[in-house]
Amino acid sequence: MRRITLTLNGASISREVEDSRLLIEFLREDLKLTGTKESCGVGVCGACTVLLDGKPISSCLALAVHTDGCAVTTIEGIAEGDRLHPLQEAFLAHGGFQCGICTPGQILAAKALLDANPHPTWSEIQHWMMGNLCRCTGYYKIIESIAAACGAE
Amino acid sequence: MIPFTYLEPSNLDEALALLAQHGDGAKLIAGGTGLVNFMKQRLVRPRFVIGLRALKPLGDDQRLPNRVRSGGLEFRRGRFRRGQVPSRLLG
Repeated sequence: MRRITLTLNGASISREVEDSRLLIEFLREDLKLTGTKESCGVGVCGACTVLLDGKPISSCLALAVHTDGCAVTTIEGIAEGDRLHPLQEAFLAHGGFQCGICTPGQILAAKALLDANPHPTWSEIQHWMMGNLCRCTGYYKIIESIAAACGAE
Repeated sequence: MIPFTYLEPSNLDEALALLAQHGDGAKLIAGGTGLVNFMKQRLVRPRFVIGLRALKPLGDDQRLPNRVRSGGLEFRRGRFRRGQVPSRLLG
């Protein structure tokens, strides 16, 4: 066991975790933050994406101990009170999801892009989002949602 | 996940000492996605995992006319972003 202290969705927390605990297990099972979804489990599909110090990572392959001293952002942490994040609003308005399993990862990956590059081109959005798979939407609606959130043409 | 003990050396000498002490029972983890995948599939079962995240990048970065030499623990993405890789080498 090891004590880790991190900033989770803006709040400082400290917990004991098993050395071998995966970040997604820590989030979903220990902290009951079930917005983060596991799909492929091997770091290929992007569904479990969370932000570690602002960068998108696969929480299914990250060790919880590696978040010690870092800032972690999950889908639970991007709305402000009752006001959804502009990306969340855009996914709702533009039909950017169907079954929803990949959506938290899609939105966090997109957030990392827009935080670093607030005005990406359409092709920059497409290229960036290649790491997040979706078996429902055919991707057009996802790209349209992100483009709408940042005014990309 | 298979259980293991996580160790986090704060410099290269400590890391090398831990490796020497634990030998084949230890595996190094830097970014970590490869090793964790192998452990999840039980292809690798180390008793100790030695995390390198506290170590500074190893070795010198060099930019040569037709190639780029990178020290260990350097992030490829950061290098691309900083424009240190000549575009003609990116294919």
